[in-house]
Amino acid sequence: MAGINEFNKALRAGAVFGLGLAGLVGASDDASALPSFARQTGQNCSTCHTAFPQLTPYGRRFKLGGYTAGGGIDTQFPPISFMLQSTYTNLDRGLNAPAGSTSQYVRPQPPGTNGFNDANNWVDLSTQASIFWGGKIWGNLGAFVQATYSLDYGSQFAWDNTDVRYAETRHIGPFDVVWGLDFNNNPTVQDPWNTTPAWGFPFIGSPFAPGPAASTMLEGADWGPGQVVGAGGYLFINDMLYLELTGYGGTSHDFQWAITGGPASNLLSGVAPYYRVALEKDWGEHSLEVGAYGMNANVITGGNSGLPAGTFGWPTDIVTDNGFDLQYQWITDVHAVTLRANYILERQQLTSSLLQGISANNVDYLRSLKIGAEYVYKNTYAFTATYFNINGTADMTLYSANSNFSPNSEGWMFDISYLPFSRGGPSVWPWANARIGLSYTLYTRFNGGTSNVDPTAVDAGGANLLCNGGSVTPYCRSASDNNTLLAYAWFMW
Amino acid sequence: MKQTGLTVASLAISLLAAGPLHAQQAEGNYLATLFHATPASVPDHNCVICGPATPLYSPPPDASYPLALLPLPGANGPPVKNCTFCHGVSAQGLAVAPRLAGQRAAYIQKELGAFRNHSRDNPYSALYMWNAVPNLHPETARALADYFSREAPQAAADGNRALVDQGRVLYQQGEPQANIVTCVVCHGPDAQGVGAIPRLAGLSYSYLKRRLEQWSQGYHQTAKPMPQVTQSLSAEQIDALASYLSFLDDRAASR
Repeated sequence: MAGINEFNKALRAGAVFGLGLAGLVGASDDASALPSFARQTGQNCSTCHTAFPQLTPYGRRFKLGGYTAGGGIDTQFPPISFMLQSTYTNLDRGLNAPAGSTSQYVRPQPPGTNGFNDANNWVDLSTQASIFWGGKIWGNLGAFVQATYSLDYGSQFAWDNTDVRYAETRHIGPFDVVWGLDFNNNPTVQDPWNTTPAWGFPFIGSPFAPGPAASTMLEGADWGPGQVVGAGGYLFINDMLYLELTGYGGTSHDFQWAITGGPASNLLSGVAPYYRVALEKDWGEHSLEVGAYGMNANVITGGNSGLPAGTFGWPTDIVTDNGFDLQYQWITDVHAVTLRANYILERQQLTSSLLQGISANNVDYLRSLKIGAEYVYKNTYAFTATYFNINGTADMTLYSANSNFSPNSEGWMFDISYLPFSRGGPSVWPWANARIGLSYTLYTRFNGGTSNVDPTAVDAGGANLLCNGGSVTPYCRSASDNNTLLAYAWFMW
Repeated sequence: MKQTGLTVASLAISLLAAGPLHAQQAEGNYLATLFHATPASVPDHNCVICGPATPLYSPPPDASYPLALLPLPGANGPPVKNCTFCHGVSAQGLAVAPRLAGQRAAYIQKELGAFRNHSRDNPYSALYMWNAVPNLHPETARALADYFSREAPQAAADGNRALVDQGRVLYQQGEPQANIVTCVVCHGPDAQGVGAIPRLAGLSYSYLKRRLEQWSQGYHQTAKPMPQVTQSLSAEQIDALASYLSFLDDRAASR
């Protein structure tokens, strides 16, 4: 029995930590204003991006058209681009426990960050280095394929965001129809609106900063690039109505080890359907989008670590996400305002987790809200503020390390950045692009609490013993101790 | 969720299924109702989705008037996609990009030249179009202009309806005492344009308004005589003209 308990504990820790890290890694997934797209179309980055990666109405149509529109120089050089992200991360309070503390606080470092053992102020000159293949392949076939070298991925080259599509246009009666087939490896990476998770705010995150343990399936990284692959089709009718259906399946254990730097702890069972409906109305300098999307997945929780590959007959959790999004843009030659709102409601039917002792409830809910505004002046100076709120069912096993066993986290993210080359780069390489910025994440609630949020220091009632009259020196981290300042330099060429 | 997924799936499927149905209608009187043309002028072989092998349309009574939405050209045709990701799938205009469908071919070609030599220096032109034309071969430009001039335009109809009458009077009569000439003299009774003089009927309100305003602000001064013509227009008159023209459906007017 002791062995099983140990195993369950490990699974729980793995699940919570996996989720937390998933949030971190997911947050640092990057987007791009691909210089190879600029070469292909002849356009500046600012035609398709207000401040990359936020898309304009034209950028969305370039994407839905299969990345195949041209107009630029006709070069025999393949559409290859490069990216480098350098970061500096500062936490309001370092991660080392004070001397003499008996807190079991575990420094939440991502895998592979060996060599960054200081308690705070991490400088990482190559947080992510990527190579892209982006543009037209042949005729109506185009692709966006990213491979990334990153410490997040266990210091190896890994298969990153990929979106390959074939898109054609037909006039059917009074309808102008763009129809396309799409292959991708990350749910919502194919979406042209920046409200959905894959290309949503924050556009860049720190791999060193602790993040909320709970995140919805679509926002987490369990189904990140390469953990799943999806194929589907879409229609875009009269430049207005977007309809998409895609099915996702998990890749094999061996494949995940080989190409993603290690499998997620959870395993996708069968085919997970994904749907997307969106209505976009454009008039003059205004664009308004309202939409819904969602995914339903059978998940073998802990399946990758706890079960031998190919175990048959194990019950699954059923995770259902339904998202609702709203985006408004006002774009002139001088100003660009983008308002984004996104809400995901997740229902977790935890049949498998309950059986394995990973969760205490049969059904948990998780809700994630993000509302943000972005202002960009002449495609060069960008200011962004976003409010986020994650809340859901308390679960004394799944969130055993959280205050009150609650998944709730809440806060703000601010970003100021300078994009010198949006309207044309240096003459030697006019397609280059860069974003140099400062972002600040402010937590008003973190993993269920505002104070004493140290994991593993809570008693059976969810109260932090060490900080409430305990006899030993407390560590007693508050939510705001995790406030994060991130300075970044993001280059594309 | 599963149910929702199914609903969406069935919706998508019924939409797909609806496509051919519409196509069948199109072979009958559908085009007629769509384009206000008499069924007699739309022969049965007039299928808009059958591809380029079928004749696109037989000339309607007003021979110069484009009737059909053209299928996108094949691999050897002009690279229409390079334009339509901004101007809209059938070039009806999108966001700040104006409608190209039905525009006069000579005008499109002239403007492409003005983008190339930067004489059309309006802010959006400089931002988008200056980068779109340097690699455009003159033959390609001609083919694109020809293609878009034959696409059937749809009226944007997005101006202020209350100003339509004021706009019509201004368009047709000008205002001699304010030194405003009539537009009808050059752009034609239905604002359909001719030669290198652009078709204005049904262009979007915001595009028309912006163009009329920007001549007085010093942009695109080579487009004679427009810088002089627009000088005397008040903001309200520009509003009225742009509103009137945005509703002007020259399909109806030209009959």
